[in-house]
Amino acid sequence: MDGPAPYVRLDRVEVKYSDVVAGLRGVSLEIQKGEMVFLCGQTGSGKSTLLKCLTREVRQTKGKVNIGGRDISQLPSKDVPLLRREMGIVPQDFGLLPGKTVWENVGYALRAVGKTRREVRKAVPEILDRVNILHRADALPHELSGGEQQRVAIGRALINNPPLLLADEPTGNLDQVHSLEIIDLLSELNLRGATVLVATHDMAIVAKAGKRVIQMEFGRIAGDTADA
Amino acid sequence: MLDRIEFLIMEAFVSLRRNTWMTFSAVTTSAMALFLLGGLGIAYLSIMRFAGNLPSRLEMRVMMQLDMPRDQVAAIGEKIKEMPEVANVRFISKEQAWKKMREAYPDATAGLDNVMPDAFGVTVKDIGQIELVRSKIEQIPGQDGVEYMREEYQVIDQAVRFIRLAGAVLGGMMLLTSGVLIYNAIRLAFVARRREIKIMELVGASRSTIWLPLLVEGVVQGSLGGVIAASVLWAAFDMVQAMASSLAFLGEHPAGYPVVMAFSVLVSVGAVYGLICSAIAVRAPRKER
Repeated sequence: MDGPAPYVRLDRVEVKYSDVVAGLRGVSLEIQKGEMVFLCGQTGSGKSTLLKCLTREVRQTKGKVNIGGRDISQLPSKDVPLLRREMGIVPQDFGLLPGKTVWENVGYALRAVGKTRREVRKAVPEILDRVNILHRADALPHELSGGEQQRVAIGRALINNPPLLLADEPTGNLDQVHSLEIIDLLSELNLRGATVLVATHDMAIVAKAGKRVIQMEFGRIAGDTADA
Repeated sequence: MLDRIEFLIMEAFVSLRRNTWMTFSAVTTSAMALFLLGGLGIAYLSIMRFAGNLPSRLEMRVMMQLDMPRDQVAAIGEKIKEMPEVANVRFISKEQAWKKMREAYPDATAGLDNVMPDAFGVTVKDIGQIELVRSKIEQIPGQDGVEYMREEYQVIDQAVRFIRLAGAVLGGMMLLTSGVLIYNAIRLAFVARRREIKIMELVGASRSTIWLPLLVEGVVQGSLGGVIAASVLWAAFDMVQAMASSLAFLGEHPAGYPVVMAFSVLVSVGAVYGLICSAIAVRAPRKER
């Protein structure tokens, strides 16, 4: 095989939620380090399940999931937190703590992964600056626009400085302008070296981004621009 | 390290504050259960202490056959002394017994010869073994019966049995109820903190970071229950003691409230129980994920 080994590799992955409900039906794909990839498809097409396989929120019924050359399906449960520190996860609903300010939301996540108060004081402004939300550090989530909230969520995903960023419908709750802002931010992080995987059904922003697109339908890959 | 501990404890107290009413009910129910157990424990210990003093009062009288030679009487005395359950054996000669009888009933004994046999006064180490010792003595040839205050012994025995049973049933029920409440409080804490827990999981917080605050919460609830139980028990004990001291039949003045023992035992039991219940609650959602 030519070229470098893929950073993310799924090999005939199947996820069955029950005898009749399947999340993924034999998905195989490869993503190179530093790539930015959009996973597109309707609700129920398997985008979120695929991301959850990578975060080990869901375990595949069959097949192999490799990240950085390591088969994560063999990873013991106790090591899953360590796996997640190697990736930044941006959930669809932002997942911000309503009673905490922007600064505290990011600081809380840092404290949760064992950083000291001093480390938190140093890291939070840097992270907020990276996602261009430092000027709203003292604002509570309900005082922010959807785009700003998503920036905070992305900032929180960066606390471990991860090489892999996974975003599940990051523009799902945003208008067109804010959606483009978020995609620009993710593209910028990708340019700085992060491998970015975005699940979305917003084809308009995918078209504008001009990146690799994997189309999913009924738990299968229906198309991949990398193959074109 | 201190920084870490501070974070975990702060997380636990945030949760306790957030679930005020659930915390309140878990703490008060634990307190009631521990109060009941502690109260019954102290009552049990008091009765056992009282019973411990009884063997000297409940001296068994082992009668010898009339006109048995003294060397045979002495041999039987030695056999009784050798029993491991026996604390003391006192020889009561027929002359001593008759003298006492005549002093007690001068009219009834006037003009009569000595009708009393030699005897032994036997006390046991443990009141619970009195029946065993009696049956062993009755198998010795030459003795002519064993007498003791059977009714008093039975009253004490029944009281001890009742306290044991009541402690097991009532204390057990209360403990179970408080356990369910602590479990529920921790499960509610899970729901109340689902956002924080979700974030912790997303960013890769270790399991201990997620669970320790919840375990601390259970320990705090159980310990608080123990503190309240020991305090209320102290007040109740003082009241009962004040009433009891005016009752002459109880004889000697009862011992004071064991402050250090009560607080350390009840708080420790509460803490361990809270820990166990919260650990069960913490494990439950793990299976679901």
